[in-house]
Amino acid sequence: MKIEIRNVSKLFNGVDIIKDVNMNFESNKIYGLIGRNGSGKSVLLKMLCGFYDTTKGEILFDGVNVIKHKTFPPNTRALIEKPFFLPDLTGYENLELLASIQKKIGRDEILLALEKVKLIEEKDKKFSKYSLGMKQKLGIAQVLMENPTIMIFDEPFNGIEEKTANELRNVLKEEAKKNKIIIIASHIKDDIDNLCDEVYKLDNGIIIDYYKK
Amino acid sequence: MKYIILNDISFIINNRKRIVFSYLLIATIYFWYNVLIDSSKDIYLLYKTLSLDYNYNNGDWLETLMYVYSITIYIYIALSLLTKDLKSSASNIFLRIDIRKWILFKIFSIHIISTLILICMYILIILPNYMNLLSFDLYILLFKNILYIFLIQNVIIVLLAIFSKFKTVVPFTIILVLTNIFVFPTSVLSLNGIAILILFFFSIIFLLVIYKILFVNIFESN
Repeated sequence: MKIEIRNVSKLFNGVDIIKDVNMNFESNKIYGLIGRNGSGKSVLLKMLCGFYDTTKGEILFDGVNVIKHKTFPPNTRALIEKPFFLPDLTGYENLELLASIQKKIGRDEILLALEKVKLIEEKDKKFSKYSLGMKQKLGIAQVLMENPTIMIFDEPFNGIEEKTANELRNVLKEEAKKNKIIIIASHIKDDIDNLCDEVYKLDNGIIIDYYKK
Repeated sequence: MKYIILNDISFIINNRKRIVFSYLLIATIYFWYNVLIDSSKDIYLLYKTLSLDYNYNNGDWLETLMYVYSITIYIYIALSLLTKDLKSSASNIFLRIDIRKWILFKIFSIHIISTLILICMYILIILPNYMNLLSFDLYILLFKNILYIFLIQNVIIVLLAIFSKFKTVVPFTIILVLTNIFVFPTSVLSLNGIAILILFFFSIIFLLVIYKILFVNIFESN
């Protein structure tokens, strides 16, 4: 799997949010997008998910411009902004309900995802009773559970204690080895440095730095 | 489908229940106010309460207010349910479901919830007061009313797709309500039931045809 962002720009109300960005993503790697708040990371991730159209340029998934065809990228899961779940259902029930949309997985896969994010003990607790960190972990679990080829995370470790964040980083490193593309955006350099193989640094919608680890 | 409907019902219960309860309460109070004024429970009072025979040329100001209020509630509920997925659970839903399926399930969910609210209204007003007047004609009229609400909601969603420059639901709701009063026929009593049914299905088909424009426009404006 290969994702190419070619000369992509995005205008909102006459303001350049993303300006002529070029990026490439390949399987078996974790990519970081780092930049301060307002640098354009979230907008770029939403364009990758197909939620926003590009003003200029194209985003290709294995050579196909899915945005142009107004479909969503295949086999992709994302955690962008605050994780949203039904407050009166338990963590497990929320994931089960989400899984019922495509019916690709069953109880075992859901429990495995909850194990990976260290939320198995709290799976039967209502989502409304979850702490911020637990909500974030459930958001990560919904990304992992259906074994997607592309995983996109926006500030995934917000509110998560360091020990668990390290465990989750290891989970993502293992996932990436399974022929997946993982893209993580964060404004915290440590999150990116401890995890990513390649890093793009954004500011004011342009790439100001790129490096490989 | 299960996800969308449960999600929407949860949203109404957790975020919009005051609006729904207020609407049911106000309609009930309005009905009893009319009974007091009229000193009877003529079937016309039922039509007045449910805004089934509203005409802005002939209606009094209170009836106009009630009509506007009723339509606003159903439009607001439709727009809230439509835009909430785009605002808060986009990555949960849209990476798992085809947009056309989402639109279909969403419209179905909006209509189910609107029907439940309407049925509550009918139970509150019709059952205690008009049991002896229940007839096939009345059932048809109530069914026409439900379809009329559905049609208004579908047209509103189409307009939202085409003119989605508004960042919040409220100003758009106000404009659409005003459009509804002065452009659409407002008397369900005089409408042809078959015509409403045909227009309703046509509006669904149209929404499925313009689904791409609908999604991009609404998503980016949110």
